[in-house]
Amino acid sequence: MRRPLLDIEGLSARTADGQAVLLDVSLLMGPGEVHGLVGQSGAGKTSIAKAVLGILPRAITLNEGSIRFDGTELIGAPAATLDKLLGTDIALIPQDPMTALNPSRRIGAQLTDSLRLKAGLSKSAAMERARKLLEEVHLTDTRRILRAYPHELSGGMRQRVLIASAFALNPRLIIADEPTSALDVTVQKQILRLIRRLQREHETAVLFVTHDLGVVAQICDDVTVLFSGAVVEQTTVHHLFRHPRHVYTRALIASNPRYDQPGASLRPISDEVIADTLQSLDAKGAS
Amino acid sequence: MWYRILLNRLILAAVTLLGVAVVVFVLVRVVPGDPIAMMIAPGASEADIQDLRVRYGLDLPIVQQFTVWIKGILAGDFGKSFSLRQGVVGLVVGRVPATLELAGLALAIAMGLGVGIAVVATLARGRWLETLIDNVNGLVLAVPDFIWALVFVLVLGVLWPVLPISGRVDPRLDLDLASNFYLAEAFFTGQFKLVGHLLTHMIMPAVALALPLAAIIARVMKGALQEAMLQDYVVLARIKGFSRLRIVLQEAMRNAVVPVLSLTGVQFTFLVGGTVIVERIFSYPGIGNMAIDAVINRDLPLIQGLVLAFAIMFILINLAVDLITIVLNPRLRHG
Ligand SMILES: Nc1ncnc2c1ncn2[C@@H]1O[C@H](COP(=O)(O)OP(=O)(O)OP(=O)(O)O)[C@@H](O)[C@H]1O
Ligand SMILES: [Mg+2]
Repeated sequence: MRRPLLDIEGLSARTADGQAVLLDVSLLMGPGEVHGLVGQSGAGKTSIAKAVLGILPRAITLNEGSIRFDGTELIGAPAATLDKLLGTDIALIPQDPMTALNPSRRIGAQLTDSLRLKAGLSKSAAMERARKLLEEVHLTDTRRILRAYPHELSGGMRQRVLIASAFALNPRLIIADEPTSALDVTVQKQILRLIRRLQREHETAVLFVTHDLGVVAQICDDVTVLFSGAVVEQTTVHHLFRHPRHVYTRALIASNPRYDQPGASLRPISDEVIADTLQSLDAKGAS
Repeated sequence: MWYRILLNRLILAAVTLLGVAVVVFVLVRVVPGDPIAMMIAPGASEADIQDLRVRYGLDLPIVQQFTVWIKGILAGDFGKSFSLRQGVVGLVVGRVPATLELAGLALAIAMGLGVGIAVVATLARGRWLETLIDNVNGLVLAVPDFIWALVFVLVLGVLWPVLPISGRVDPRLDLDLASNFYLAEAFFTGQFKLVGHLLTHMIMPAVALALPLAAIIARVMKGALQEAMLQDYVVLARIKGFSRLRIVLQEAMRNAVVPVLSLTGVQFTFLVGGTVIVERIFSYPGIGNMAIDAVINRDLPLIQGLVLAFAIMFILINLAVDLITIVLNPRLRHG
């Protein structure tokens, strides 16, 4: 691997009442790579994303580990360092497009404020750039959209706006936390393709959070499988589906709709597998 | 959409005013105290009293008195003050500007203070400053406006006399003003020295009226801001790397304003009600002060006129709040 863009090492976090949220999580991403972060609900996927963005809730504290972005340590970094990286080099595509736009500000204003404040464009230049960005995410009638309020747009359109906003300053890393889970299936596919295309064109690294292995197969290069806050498998996507090493990964693959066989039946993860996995994690923790 | 709301409100306003008119009319006639006795020298004969009673129509049955009064109002005549022997309309219209300016200044102070404190407390989230603000705020919330008025008079008027404690202007001053909106007119005609002078008279009653409202605005606004700070779009703005102050003002404020606004409207009517006693304390020549004199003198037409004036002010305040809410909410505006 070239010099890593994102280097998470030994990250551990727990809640105020002592419950572990992340256990010794390490993760490496090179520039331009798409890294999938999968696991069941509560596995800690969002917590990793939030740790990178420095927006972990108060209830969760990081005890150990480091997060380096292009060599710069993010944990405990001064606010000025973070403010400079965030938005410019690191951006987020949020999960729910219905709540991620300010209901009382026009799309144009929300799309241009980074361009003006961070890239220093004039108001008209920023508007023109915003219009181009909207075209890049395949929105038509861009002038009307720039003047519109969020409630005038559909969920899919809003997500396109948010994707445009994430790519606005050509960041090196985008974190996408289940960016399609709030959309209906046909729109999901389009949005995934869109993210994939833009990611390739801009050579942006994407940390892609999902619980859908089908999505991982479709757009990721590498993948980290999380279970209950710990990494159970970390490999290339190619490898994951051919030789799943961990019993939990195998169960997870079996429980997902077959990405290569649409319509195949689902198999829930059995309690046995979960118990096995927990045991193996305990063994690892004890050693 | 919004003109339908406006029409609705106007009909509602008419009904409200009629209701207020009936209630005040009946009320001032059933409470004890004889208006005629207040107008006449002690020891007047029974015949003289009866004479006056007839002259002012107080001998008629109450329903008839009411229709006479309402007919007059519809013709623009609210009757004549018993104690001041002048038309009620002229008296009230002459005094309303003083009260409006005082209440307006108090509202501006309350909003500035309340919003400012809420923003500071939001930025100080989880630090000692937040606790301090919460505690002081709770204290201010518990003290009514007239107590502040008395404290100010005592401290800044008597113990350490830096501010005038009575009136609206120094009576020796020769005013070059066409209207009774002294403050507004002085400001817009560029007489800034006079503006300053007026403010020294208005600042104590205005702040006294403003403090309770400021505390309420601060508390509600802080709650609304902190809730707004958790919204996804605010978190996203943080991830765009904007400063906390910009995020509070640009992202959180707008949506926090709406709940605060409707509350401020209701609370502002209380503030206007509070002018009655605060104007009295500062001998400020507004309609509140006049209302107290009118009650003492059992001046029925003047009381009725003043109560209607207050009612109209309350209705206009609520109307303004509704309109501003529509303007601030794009969903309503386009709906
Ligand atoms: N605000 C919070 N306060 C306390 N505990 C939290 C909080 N947010 C998350 N947690 C805990 O942290 C753990 C990991 O949560 P996280 O949101 O990272 O999971 P996830 O993998 O993103 O799940 P999902 O697929 O449901 O989004 C969970 O056990 C959860 O209970
Ligand atoms: Mg999550």
